Amino acid sequence: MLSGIKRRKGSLWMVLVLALFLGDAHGAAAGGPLDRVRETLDGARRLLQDPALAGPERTEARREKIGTLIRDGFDYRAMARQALGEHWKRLSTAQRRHFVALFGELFERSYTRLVVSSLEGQTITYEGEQIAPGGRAATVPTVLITKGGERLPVEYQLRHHAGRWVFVDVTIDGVSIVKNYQIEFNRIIGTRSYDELVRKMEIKRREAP
Amino acid sequence: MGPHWGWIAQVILRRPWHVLTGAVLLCLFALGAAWVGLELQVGRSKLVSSTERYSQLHTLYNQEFGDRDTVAVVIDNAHPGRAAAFTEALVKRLEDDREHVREIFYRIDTASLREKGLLYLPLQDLRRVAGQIEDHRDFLAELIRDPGLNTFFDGINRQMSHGLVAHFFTDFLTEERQAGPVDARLLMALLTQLQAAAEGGGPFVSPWRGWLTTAGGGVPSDALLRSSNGRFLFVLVTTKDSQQGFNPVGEAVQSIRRAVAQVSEQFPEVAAGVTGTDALEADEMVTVRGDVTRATFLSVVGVLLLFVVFWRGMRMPLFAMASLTAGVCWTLGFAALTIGRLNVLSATFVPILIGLGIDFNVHLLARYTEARRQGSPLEGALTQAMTKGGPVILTGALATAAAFFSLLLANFRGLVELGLITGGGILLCFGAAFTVLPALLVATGENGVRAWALHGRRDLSGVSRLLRRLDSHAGLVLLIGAFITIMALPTLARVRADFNLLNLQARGVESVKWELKVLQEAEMSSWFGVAFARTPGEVARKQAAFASLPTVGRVESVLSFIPDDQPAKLQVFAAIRPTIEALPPGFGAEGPVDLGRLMDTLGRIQFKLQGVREPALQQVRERIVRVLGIIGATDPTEVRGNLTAFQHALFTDLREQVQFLKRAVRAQAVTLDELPTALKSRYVGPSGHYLLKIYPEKNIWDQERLAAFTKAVRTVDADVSGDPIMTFEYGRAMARGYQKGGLYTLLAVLLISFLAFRRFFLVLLVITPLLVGVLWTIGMMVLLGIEFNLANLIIVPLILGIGIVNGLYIVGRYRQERRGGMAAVVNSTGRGVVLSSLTTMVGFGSLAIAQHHGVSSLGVLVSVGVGSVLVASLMVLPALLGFHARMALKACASEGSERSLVQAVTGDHPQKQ
Repeated sequence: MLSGIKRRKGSLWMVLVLALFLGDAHGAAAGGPLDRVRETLDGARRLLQDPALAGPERTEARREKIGTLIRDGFDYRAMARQALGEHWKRLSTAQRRHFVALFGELFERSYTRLVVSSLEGQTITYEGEQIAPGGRAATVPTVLITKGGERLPVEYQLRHHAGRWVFVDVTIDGVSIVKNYQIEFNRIIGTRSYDELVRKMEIKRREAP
Repeated sequence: MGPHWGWIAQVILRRPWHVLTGAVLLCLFALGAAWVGLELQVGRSKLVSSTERYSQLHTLYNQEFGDRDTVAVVIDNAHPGRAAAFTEALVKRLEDDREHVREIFYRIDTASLREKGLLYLPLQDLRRVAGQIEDHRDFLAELIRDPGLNTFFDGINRQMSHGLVAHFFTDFLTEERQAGPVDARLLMALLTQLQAAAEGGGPFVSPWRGWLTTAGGGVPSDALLRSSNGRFLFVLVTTKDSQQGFNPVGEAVQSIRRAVAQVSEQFPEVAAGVTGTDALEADEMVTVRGDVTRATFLSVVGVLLLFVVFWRGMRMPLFAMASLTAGVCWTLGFAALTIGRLNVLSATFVPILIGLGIDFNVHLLARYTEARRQGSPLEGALTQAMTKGGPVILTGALATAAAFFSLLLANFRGLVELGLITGGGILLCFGAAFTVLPALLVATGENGVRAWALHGRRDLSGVSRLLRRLDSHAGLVLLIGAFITIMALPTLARVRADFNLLNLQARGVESVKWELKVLQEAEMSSWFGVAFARTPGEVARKQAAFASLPTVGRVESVLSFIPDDQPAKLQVFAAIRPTIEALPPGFGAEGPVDLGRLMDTLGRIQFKLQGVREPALQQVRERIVRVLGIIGATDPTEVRGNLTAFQHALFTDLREQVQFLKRAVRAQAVTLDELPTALKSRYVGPSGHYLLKIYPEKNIWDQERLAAFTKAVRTVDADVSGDPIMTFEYGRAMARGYQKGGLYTLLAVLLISFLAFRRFFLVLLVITPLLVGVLWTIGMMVLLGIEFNLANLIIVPLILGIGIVNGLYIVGRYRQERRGGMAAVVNSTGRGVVLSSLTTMVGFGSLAIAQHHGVSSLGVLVSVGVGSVLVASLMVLPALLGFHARMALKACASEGSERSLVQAVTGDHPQKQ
């Protein structure tokens, strides 16, 4: 899957041009949002079940692999912009670039931790896909089921970007991760400042994962 | 004095029946006077002088606030609901007992304070409650708009989802206080109730308690009196005043115990017991009465047996007892005419007189029978006994009486009255011994005496043989005596005193058991010091000063019922008021519980709690598994019905809580005028005195801690009173009284001895058995682990009296007999000393079987003390006398002068035989 993604990156312009012309047809084509989610989650599950990555001594390697998968699947820039909301507009290009990198790194680390702690030993049921009119956004509802039968609904929000579906948010039992970021970022910027927010994120980044 | 004794003897010999009739008439008069004019006063407060400042303050306290709450029913609060129901049932019963119960205090009527209940929460708790409301206002609003179990658990689940996401993604941003998921305690409380409801039963207990607050805020909803740690509930009972008998509160305490027993039958799982000052006193009285009854029987039997063994017949003992009875009756009349009352201390004069008053009869009979044995007819023997024995026995009686009269100088009313009555009683018993006893002997003729005299002709009984043997080995005896005395000397510094009144009580007595239980498990004392103030400002100042003392646990006053930090709390109200007032005005309609949705939500919560490490959340998860299991296994219609009913109770409760909150945050500061009258009257007296109750930090039954507590509270206010102070002063005054009394007694007996013998050397001999016996007694106390306490301190005058009398009789007889008189000293006076000491030992020794530790220790100590003095009197003193007589004999033999021998030994001119 990863090699396929890289090939598509190489022909980015062609995809964009095609997208402009093909519109919705792209969103509904094979490799749709449901497939994208299934492909990513299956990839993550395979990594978690890979005997070569099992054991405490391989935790770091396993995290790295999952991190790569997340990095590849999520659109950090879109997520960062949404999480900052109105504040995004007031940032310079350099600030935005810096913020996206910082946000992406922290998100990746956190989401890896979530995947490792919640996916292991669970089964996932996919409950279809809902593509928004225009075909550029989609929602894929899933349910995590424990061996005991407890169910946890998890929804993936994706957008079609540069010829493929990328994750822009995950909603865990009704709570959006990006929305959560937005609330907290807004609170810090409102009560302190953007610089203070960045300072806290920098401190967090320097901590061991 | 000889002619007087002879004259008395002649009168008795000529008119025995007149003398007896006069004695009986005097007895009747005395008993009549006692019946009319002798009042029984109970309670330790009657032992101290009313002129003492602490006593006056105690009286003021009683006048202003009444002697309240003297009986405490302690209810174990291990099962809170049942304990509260027990309390209510008990109070109902006690309210019907108008005969014994004057007032019951078991709850504070907080109805008028409930609207201001939030002000009674500690400021920190109030801020926490305000924070909870602020954090969960949306959730609260949602519950008000759409009340129901589904809404509640949906909200909980959502909060947990937020918590989960925040935990993984933004925890590093939450350095300040953030609205966390709902308190695990609330969730657990609700799930517990939910489980009970799903199972179809269980009383509703508000799960909102501790989360929002409880209606009433810091004022407990039941407002029952409880220990600070909640371990016990209390019902405080004030009994009706009664002056009947020696244990007037005993009947009331028993009545309360009957009520407790009856209620306990309905609540077998609730443990309860009766204690408090009245119960302790009543139990003590009951124990002591039982002890004294048993001991009296034992002592009478023992003394009679002794007499029978010594006199080989019943008539002599009965005559001695009759004489003693007359002496005791006259003393009752004397007490009625001089003091007019008996307190718990002076009432002990009867056993003391039985122990000491009998001695005069014993010594007179010893002299009489000795003369009879030597062949004198009744008339001559009696005259000889009275004329020769009279002066010495009188000196002994004066010395013993002086020992008790010395207590008049003690600054302690209980001892002063005991000293006067017992001192007078000793002299009256002496009077009876020299009138009633000889008159009985004369009136009944010689028959009774002859039998004894025949037996007595064998002369050297076991006791006499032993005494003669000791006399013949005087050197060895003195050596042994000196060795024991030297060994006993170091123990002087090791003898201990324990003035803990609780330790005097019998073990296992209900009041003591519960007093100790409260002391140990609730770490609180039922005792409190009392201070007064004239203004609320003074109350506040004193309260703060007392509370700052390390020996003080807490201080109660009327201000204790005014919340602390009211301005700060009102600020919290002002801050939270907009949030509370912004809540929806009315609750929405409740719908039936959607079982499927509920189970799904609970499953999601359970999912999120996987792998949590916090024990409280692990318990929540386990509880959810159980609840889901029960719901899944029960008929859906039934469980839906049960849960819907529970939902209704739950949200009715929430409605009340919210309504309370809305009113509570508009409350103004609580003022003194608003306090319930029943409460205020306990702390503000009719003449405007404000009361402060000062509770000790630790158990102050221990004398050292009591002294430290008393000293500390007096640094704040010299006029502190109350039971601990009274007990401290009472104990101190009593100990000082005995110390001073002991010293004066010693001086008095020395003076009397000197007046009797006029030779320093003889006085030294007289007090030798006393000094040696006291030393040995102290050695025995250390050896046997006996400590001085407030009950056995009476030994001080007793031992001084008895010790000096033994010395007086022996030295007096020795002085009379001159050369070769040691045989008479040993045979007659020695036997008398043995018998009189043994009667005292048996009389008091019988108390050793008492359950009351104070009484039993008194019995043991007096027996040990009198025994030690007796051994010293029979071993050391005769040995010293014999030794000295032989030395003097040698010295005088060389001079060839009998006169100089007598003078050398006695300092007197030889008397005519």
